[in-house]
Amino acid sequence: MNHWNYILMAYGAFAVLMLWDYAAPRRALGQAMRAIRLKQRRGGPA
Amino acid sequence: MNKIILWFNQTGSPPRFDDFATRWAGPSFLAAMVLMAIGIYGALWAVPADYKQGDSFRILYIHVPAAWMSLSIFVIMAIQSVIALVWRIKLCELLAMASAPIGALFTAVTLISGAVWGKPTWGTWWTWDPRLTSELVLLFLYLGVIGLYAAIDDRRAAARAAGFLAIVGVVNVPIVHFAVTWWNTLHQGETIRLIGPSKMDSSMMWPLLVLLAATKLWYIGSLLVRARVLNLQQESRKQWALERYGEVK
Repeated sequence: MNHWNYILMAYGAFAVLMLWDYAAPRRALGQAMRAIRLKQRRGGPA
Repeated sequence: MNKIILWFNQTGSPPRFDDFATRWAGPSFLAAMVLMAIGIYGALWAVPADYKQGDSFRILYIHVPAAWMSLSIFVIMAIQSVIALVWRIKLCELLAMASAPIGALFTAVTLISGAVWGKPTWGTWWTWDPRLTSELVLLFLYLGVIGLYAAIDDRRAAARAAGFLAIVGVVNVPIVHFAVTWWNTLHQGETIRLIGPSKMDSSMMWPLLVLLAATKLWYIGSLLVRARVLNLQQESRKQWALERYGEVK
Protein backbone atom coordinates (compact mmCIF):
# COMPACT_ATOMS: atom_id res chain seq x y z
CA MET A 1 0.00 0.00 0.00
CA ASN A 2 1.33 3.46 -0.71
CA HIS A 3 1.51 6.12 2.00
CA TRP A 4 -1.59 7.96 0.77
CA ASN A 5 -3.72 4.88 1.46
CA TYR A 6 -2.59 4.95 5.10
CA ILE A 7 -3.21 8.70 5.25
CA LEU A 8 -6.75 8.23 3.88
CA MET A 9 -7.37 5.44 6.40
CA ALA A 10 -6.24 7.61 9.36
CA TYR A 11 -8.13 10.74 8.26
CA GLY A 12 -11.19 8.65 7.40
CA ALA A 13 -11.27 7.14 10.91
CA PHE A 14 -10.78 10.64 12.36
CA ALA A 15 -13.68 12.03 10.29
CA VAL A 16 -16.03 9.16 11.23
CA LEU A 17 -15.29 9.52 14.96
CA MET A 18 -15.66 13.31 14.88
CA LEU A 19 -18.96 13.00 13.01
CA TRP A 20 -20.17 10.56 15.64
CA ASP A 21 -19.13 12.98 18.38
CA TYR A 22 -21.06 15.73 16.63
CA ALA A 23 -24.22 13.73 15.91
CA ALA A 24 -24.63 11.45 18.96
CA PRO A 25 -25.09 14.20 21.62
CA ARG A 26 -27.54 16.04 19.35
CA ARG A 27 -29.62 12.88 19.07
CA ALA A 28 -29.47 12.50 22.86
CA LEU A 29 -30.52 16.15 23.23
CA GLY A 30 -33.58 15.52 21.06
CA GLN A 31 -34.44 12.47 23.17
CA ALA A 32 -34.05 14.45 26.41
CA MET A 33 -36.42 17.13 25.09
CA ARG A 34 -38.93 14.50 23.97
CA ALA A 35 -38.72 12.89 27.44
CA ILE A 36 -39.56 16.25 29.04
CA ARG A 37 -42.64 16.64 26.80
CA LEU A 38 -43.67 13.06 27.61
CA LYS A 39 -43.32 13.64 31.35
CA GLN A 40 -45.36 16.81 31.04
CA ARG A 41 -48.13 14.92 29.25
CA ARG A 42 -48.12 12.27 31.99
CA GLY A 43 -48.62 14.66 34.84
CA GLY A 44 -46.52 17.78 35.01
CA PRO A 45 -43.77 18.66 37.51
CA ALA A 46 -43.03 16.36 40.46
CA MET B 1 -17.80 38.32 45.90
CA ASN B 2 -15.01 37.69 43.40
CA LYS B 3 -16.40 38.24 39.89
CA ILE B 4 -15.19 34.87 38.59
CA ILE B 5 -16.73 32.96 41.53
CA LEU B 6 -19.94 34.95 41.12
CA TRP B 7 -20.03 34.14 37.36
CA PHE B 8 -19.37 30.45 38.08
CA ASN B 9 -22.10 30.33 40.72
CA GLN B 10 -24.60 31.97 38.38
CA THR B 11 -23.67 29.81 35.38
CA GLY B 12 -23.75 26.74 37.63
CA SER B 13 -27.51 27.00 38.07
CA PRO B 14 -29.15 24.47 35.69
CA PRO B 15 -31.29 26.95 33.67
CA ARG B 16 -28.40 29.42 33.35
CA PHE B 17 -26.06 26.65 32.24
CA ASP B 18 -28.64 25.53 29.69
CA ASP B 19 -28.68 29.09 28.29
CA PHE B 20 -24.90 29.30 28.31
CA ALA B 21 -24.43 25.92 26.57
CA THR B 22 -27.11 26.71 23.98
CA ARG B 23 -25.42 30.02 23.16
CA TRP B 24 -21.79 28.87 22.97
CA ALA B 25 -21.82 25.28 21.67
CA GLY B 26 -22.64 26.29 18.08
CA PRO B 27 -19.94 28.99 17.72
CA SER B 28 -17.35 26.66 19.29
CA PHE B 29 -18.16 23.90 16.80
CA LEU B 30 -18.20 26.34 13.91
CA ALA B 31 -14.80 27.81 14.82
CA ALA B 32 -13.44 24.27 15.34
CA MET B 33 -14.71 23.12 11.92
CA VAL B 34 -13.24 26.15 10.11
CA LEU B 35 -9.87 25.66 11.82
CA MET B 36 -9.99 21.91 11.13
CA ALA B 37 -10.61 22.54 7.44
CA ILE B 38 -7.65 24.98 7.29
CA GLY B 39 -5.42 22.67 9.33
CA ILE B 40 -6.25 19.55 7.30
CA TYR B 41 -5.69 21.46 4.05
CA GLY B 42 -2.27 22.52 5.37
CA ALA B 43 -1.45 19.02 6.64
CA LEU B 44 -2.38 17.22 3.42
CA TRP B 45 -1.41 19.68 0.69
CA ALA B 46 0.48 22.76 1.88
CA VAL B 47 3.42 21.34 3.82
CA PRO B 48 6.22 19.40 2.10
CA ALA B 49 6.74 15.66 2.62
CA ASP B 50 9.18 14.65 5.36
CA TYR B 51 12.65 13.76 4.08
CA LYS B 52 12.72 10.48 6.06
CA GLN B 53 9.10 9.41 6.51
CA GLY B 54 7.78 10.70 3.20
CA ASP B 55 4.05 11.46 3.16
CA SER B 56 3.12 9.14 6.05
CA PHE B 57 4.17 11.85 8.54
CA ARG B 58 0.99 13.75 7.53
CA ILE B 59 -0.92 11.35 9.83
CA LEU B 60 0.82 12.99 12.79
CA TYR B 61 -1.19 16.18 12.23
CA ILE B 62 -4.24 14.41 13.64
CA HIS B 63 -2.35 11.98 15.89
CA VAL B 64 -0.51 14.61 17.96
CA PRO B 65 -3.48 16.96 18.67
CA ALA B 66 -5.66 13.93 19.53
CA ALA B 67 -2.97 12.58 21.87
CA TRP B 68 -2.64 15.94 23.63
CA MET B 69 -6.41 16.12 24.01
CA SER B 70 -6.61 12.56 25.35
CA LEU B 71 -4.24 13.52 28.18
CA SER B 72 -5.48 17.03 28.90
CA ILE B 73 -9.16 15.98 28.95
CA PHE B 74 -8.36 13.33 31.56
CA VAL B 75 -6.63 15.94 33.73
CA ILE B 76 -9.58 18.35 33.28
CA MET B 77 -12.01 15.53 34.14
CA ALA B 78 -10.04 14.72 37.31
CA ILE B 79 -9.97 18.39 38.38
CA GLN B 80 -13.73 18.71 37.77
CA SER B 81 -14.25 15.52 39.78
CA VAL B 82 -12.21 16.87 42.71
CA ILE B 83 -14.29 20.07 42.71
CA ALA B 84 -17.50 18.01 42.45
CA LEU B 85 -16.49 15.71 45.32
CA VAL B 86 -15.16 18.42 47.65
CA TRP B 87 -17.62 21.26 47.04
CA ARG B 88 -20.54 19.18 45.70
CA ILE B 89 -20.98 21.43 42.68
CA LYS B 90 -23.42 19.63 40.42
CA LEU B 91 -22.27 21.38 37.27
CA CYS B 92 -18.75 20.02 37.78
CA GLU B 93 -20.18 16.48 38.05
CA LEU B 94 -21.94 17.02 34.72
CA LEU B 95 -18.85 18.51 33.06
CA ALA B 96 -16.62 15.68 34.32
CA MET B 97 -19.02 13.00 33.09
CA ALA B 98 -19.57 14.79 29.79
CA SER B 99 -15.80 14.96 29.29
CA ALA B 100 -15.31 11.18 29.49
CA PRO B 101 -16.76 10.17 26.07
CA ILE B 102 -14.93 13.05 24.33
CA GLY B 103 -11.67 11.98 25.95
CA ALA B 104 -12.33 8.36 24.96
CA LEU B 105 -12.95 9.51 21.39
CA PHE B 106 -9.66 11.42 21.19
CA THR B 107 -7.84 8.45 22.75
CA ALA B 108 -9.37 6.16 20.11
CA VAL B 109 -8.26 8.60 17.37
CA THR B 110 -4.75 8.60 18.88
CA LEU B 111 -4.53 4.79 18.93
CA ILE B 112 -6.03 4.29 15.46
CA SER B 113 -3.96 7.01 13.77
CA GLY B 114 -0.85 5.79 15.61
CA ALA B 115 -1.45 2.23 14.40
CA VAL B 116 -2.02 3.40 10.83
CA TRP B 117 1.19 5.49 10.98
CA GLY B 118 3.08 2.58 12.61
CA LYS B 119 2.42 0.12 9.80
CA PRO B 120 4.40 1.93 7.05
CA THR B 121 6.95 3.38 9.52
CA TRP B 122 7.65 0.56 12.00
CA GLY B 123 6.29 -2.30 9.91
CA THR B 124 3.61 -3.18 12.46
CA TRP B 125 0.15 -1.94 13.45
CA TRP B 126 0.77 -2.51 17.14
CA THR B 127 3.56 -3.28 19.59
CA TRP B 128 3.44 -3.55 23.39
CA ASP B 129 5.59 -0.44 23.74
CA PRO B 130 5.25 1.55 27.04
CA ARG B 131 3.79 4.65 25.32
CA LEU B 132 1.27 2.65 23.29
CA THR B 133 0.32 0.38 26.19
CA SER B 134 -0.17 3.26 28.65
CA GLU B 135 -2.32 5.09 26.06
CA LEU B 136 -4.42 1.91 25.71
CA VAL B 137 -4.77 1.84 29.52
CA LEU B 138 -5.96 5.46 29.29
CA LEU B 139 -8.72 4.34 26.90
CA PHE B 140 -9.74 1.60 29.35
CA LEU B 141 -9.84 4.18 32.15
CA TYR B 142 -12.11 6.43 30.09
CA LEU B 143 -14.34 3.44 29.32
CA GLY B 144 -14.31 2.55 33.03
CA VAL B 145 -15.51 6.06 33.96
CA ILE B 146 -18.26 5.92 31.29
CA GLY B 147 -19.30 2.40 32.33
CA LEU B 148 -19.36 3.17 36.05
CA TYR B 149 -21.44 6.31 35.49
CA ALA B 150 -23.92 4.32 33.40
CA ALA B 151 -24.10 1.40 35.84
CA ILE B 152 -25.48 3.27 38.88
CA ASP B 153 -29.08 4.49 38.82
CA ASP B 154 -28.67 7.39 41.25
CA ARG B 155 -27.08 10.03 38.97
CA ARG B 156 -25.31 11.95 41.73
CA ALA B 157 -23.90 8.79 43.34
CA ALA B 158 -22.86 7.56 39.88
CA ALA B 159 -21.02 10.82 39.17
CA ARG B 160 -19.24 10.62 42.53
CA ALA B 161 -18.12 7.00 41.97
CA ALA B 162 -17.00 7.65 38.40
CA GLY B 163 -15.32 10.90 39.49
CA PHE B 164 -13.35 8.98 42.10
CA LEU B 165 -12.14 6.60 39.39
CA ALA B 166 -11.11 9.61 37.27
CA ILE B 167 -9.10 11.02 40.19
CA VAL B 168 -7.34 7.68 40.80
CA GLY B 169 -6.81 7.13 37.08
CA VAL B 170 -5.10 10.48 36.54
CA VAL B 171 -1.90 8.82 37.79
CA ASN B 172 -1.69 7.23 34.33
CA VAL B 173 -1.33 10.64 32.62
CA PRO B 174 2.30 11.30 33.63
CA ILE B 175 3.06 7.64 32.83
CA VAL B 176 1.82 8.17 29.25
CA HIS B 177 3.65 11.49 28.95
CA PHE B 178 7.00 10.35 30.36
CA ALA B 179 6.91 6.78 28.96
CA VAL B 180 9.26 7.85 26.17
CA THR B 181 11.89 9.10 28.63
CA TRP B 182 11.47 6.57 31.47
CA TRP B 183 11.78 3.47 29.29
CA ASN B 184 13.48 2.40 26.06
CA THR B 185 10.65 2.69 23.61
CA LEU B 186 10.03 2.43 19.90
CA HIS B 187 7.94 5.60 20.07
CA GLN B 188 9.86 8.75 19.25
CA GLY B 189 10.67 11.25 21.98
CA GLU B 190 9.38 14.78 22.40
CA THR B 191 9.26 16.59 19.03
CA ILE B 192 7.22 19.66 19.91
CA ARG B 193 8.00 21.69 22.99
CA LEU B 194 5.83 24.43 24.47
CA ILE B 195 8.97 26.02 25.94
CA GLY B 196 12.18 25.98 23.92
CA PRO B 197 12.93 25.04 20.32
CA SER B 198 10.95 22.21 18.69
CA LYS B 199 12.54 19.54 16.51
CA MET B 200 9.91 20.14 13.84
CA ASP B 201 10.72 22.65 11.12
CA SER B 202 8.64 25.84 11.35
CA SER B 203 7.39 25.41 7.74
CA MET B 204 5.71 22.16 8.86
CA MET B 205 4.47 23.47 12.19
CA TRP B 206 1.53 25.77 11.37
CA PRO B 207 -1.08 23.10 10.47
CA LEU B 208 -0.27 21.36 13.73
CA LEU B 209 -0.86 24.54 15.74
CA VAL B 210 -4.12 25.17 13.86
CA LEU B 211 -5.32 21.62 14.52
CA LEU B 212 -4.31 21.89 18.19
CA ALA B 213 -6.55 24.98 18.49
CA ALA B 214 -9.33 23.24 16.50
CA THR B 215 -9.42 20.17 18.76
CA LYS B 216 -9.60 22.37 21.86
CA LEU B 217 -12.55 24.32 20.44
CA TRP B 218 -14.17 21.03 19.40
CA TYR B 219 -13.84 19.78 22.97
CA ILE B 220 -15.53 22.94 24.31
CA GLY B 221 -18.42 22.59 21.82
CA SER B 222 -18.90 18.89 22.44
CA LEU B 223 -18.58 19.31 26.22
CA LEU B 224 -21.30 21.99 26.26
CA VAL B 225 -23.75 19.87 24.23
CA ARG B 226 -23.08 16.70 26.23
CA ALA B 227 -23.29 18.48 29.59
CA ARG B 228 -26.52 20.14 28.43
CA VAL B 229 -27.99 16.69 27.70
CA LEU B 230 -27.03 15.40 31.18
CA ASN B 231 -28.39 18.60 32.73
CA LEU B 232 -31.76 18.20 30.95
CA GLN B 233 -31.96 14.49 31.84
CA GLN B 234 -31.52 15.32 35.52
CA GLU B 235 -33.75 18.38 35.50
CA SER B 236 -36.52 16.95 33.33
CA ARG B 237 -39.16 17.27 36.07
CA LYS B 238 -38.21 20.78 37.10
CA GLN B 239 -40.46 23.71 36.32
CA TRP B 240 -37.87 25.61 34.26
CA ALA B 241 -37.28 22.59 31.99
CA LEU B 242 -41.02 22.03 31.50
CA GLU B 243 -41.56 25.71 30.74
CA ARG B 244 -38.67 25.82 28.30
CA TYR B 245 -39.04 22.48 26.50
CA GLY B 246 -42.54 21.27 27.35
CA GLU B 247 -45.53 21.57 25.02
CA VAL B 248 -47.36 24.18 27.12
CA LYS B 249 -45.11 27.20 27.46
